[in-house]
Amino acid sequence: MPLNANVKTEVIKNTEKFEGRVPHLYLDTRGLVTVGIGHLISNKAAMASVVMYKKNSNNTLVLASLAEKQAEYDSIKKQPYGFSRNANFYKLHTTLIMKDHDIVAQKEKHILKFYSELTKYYTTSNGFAKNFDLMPYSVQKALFDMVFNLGITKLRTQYVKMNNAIKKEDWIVAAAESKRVGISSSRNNYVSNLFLSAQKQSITP
Amino acid sequence: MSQQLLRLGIYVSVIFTLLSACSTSNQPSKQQQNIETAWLNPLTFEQQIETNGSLEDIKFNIEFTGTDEKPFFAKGCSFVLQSGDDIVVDWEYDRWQWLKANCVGANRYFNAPKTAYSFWPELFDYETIKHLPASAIPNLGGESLEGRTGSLSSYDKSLTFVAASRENSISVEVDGLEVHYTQVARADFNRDGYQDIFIRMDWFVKDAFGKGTDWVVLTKLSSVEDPMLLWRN
Repeated sequence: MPLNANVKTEVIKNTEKFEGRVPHLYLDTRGLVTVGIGHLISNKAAMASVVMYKKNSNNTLVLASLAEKQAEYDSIKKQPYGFSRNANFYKLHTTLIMKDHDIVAQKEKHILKFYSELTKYYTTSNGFAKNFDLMPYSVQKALFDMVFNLGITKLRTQYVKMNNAIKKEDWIVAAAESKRVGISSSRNNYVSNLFLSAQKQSITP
Repeated sequence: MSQQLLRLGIYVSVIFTLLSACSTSNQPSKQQQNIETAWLNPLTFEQQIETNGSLEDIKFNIEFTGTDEKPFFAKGCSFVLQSGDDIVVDWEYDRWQWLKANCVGANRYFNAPKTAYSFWPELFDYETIKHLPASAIPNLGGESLEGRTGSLSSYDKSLTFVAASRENSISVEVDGLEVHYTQVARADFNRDGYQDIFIRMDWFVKDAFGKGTDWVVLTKLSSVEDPMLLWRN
């Protein structure tokens, strides 16, 4: 079953809100080359799969060649990095950008990976009342936000109380147990409210 | 006769000294330990800072994006410590937590006694990390800290050294996380006479997008005991 379109749209919108969207190359706090919505580029060769554009003399965007993209990678890789620099710092050192639809397409690949992991774990055979695709859409969105952040292993092994509540479709307890550390209170509230809205739906006649 | 008494006295005092040394070898007294001066990592803010003055003497100029999506610059710890957590956009939350952890550590350093007895090794290296308590790991919520006993290396068999890329910073992989342990300050934070360590833990989930900063304060009360957790964020 494909991922519900409404869920996918919301997931893209919120990952952008929570992870940020940067159309040019930059270094993350560890010095890894990154672009788009937190997409890490593991090495120079991986620039081949990143669609980027340069401005030509008419100020219109034209596709950048692999050589140009790799030169940009090298140029950014040489810059200083750390927590004291945000993505804006690197803008001055770049000449290439990604278009919005290419950033979304890149994000969709990550979404598909996490969707595959979610549908493998949240199943009736693992004790859940419903398979992932049949869970309320708000719960699917909540779990997507969590898996993006924690990965499926930590979501499965470190949120046991929350998962037990999901098994029983006790959305109030799931909301309370979904609280993460190291993210903003607005993001925690967003996920908690998604579980609580499933509770409201379940008692609506 | 007087010479025999003198010799006997010397023998008795030598034996007494040896026995005293043996009986205290596992429980060193404060007097046997080095008195260490409190220390603040001068590069913990990723730029050289003044560590001899007060918290107000620490100056930096770090750009953030506010919740209104407009840039602002954090310039000192007083501002950081007085501001709430939700002052920056979500995607810069980890950077803000990093700065806040540094300011919390610096603030505790300036409020602590300037000297204390220390049982900590001089070097902050992978051996130090291995002997930290198992709870000295970033809190990711849920039940991530429950049941963690013993030392980090005995509890987490997956603990692997990655790099010592920066001075006073050790990177490891543990339990699906990449964790960068940075020694922010050494001082007697709880004023019990023994030096403690404030450690910042910058973390990244290996197979997802999660990242953040957490911190712990550890104490070590003897040369043979493992470090103990005093406080955490």
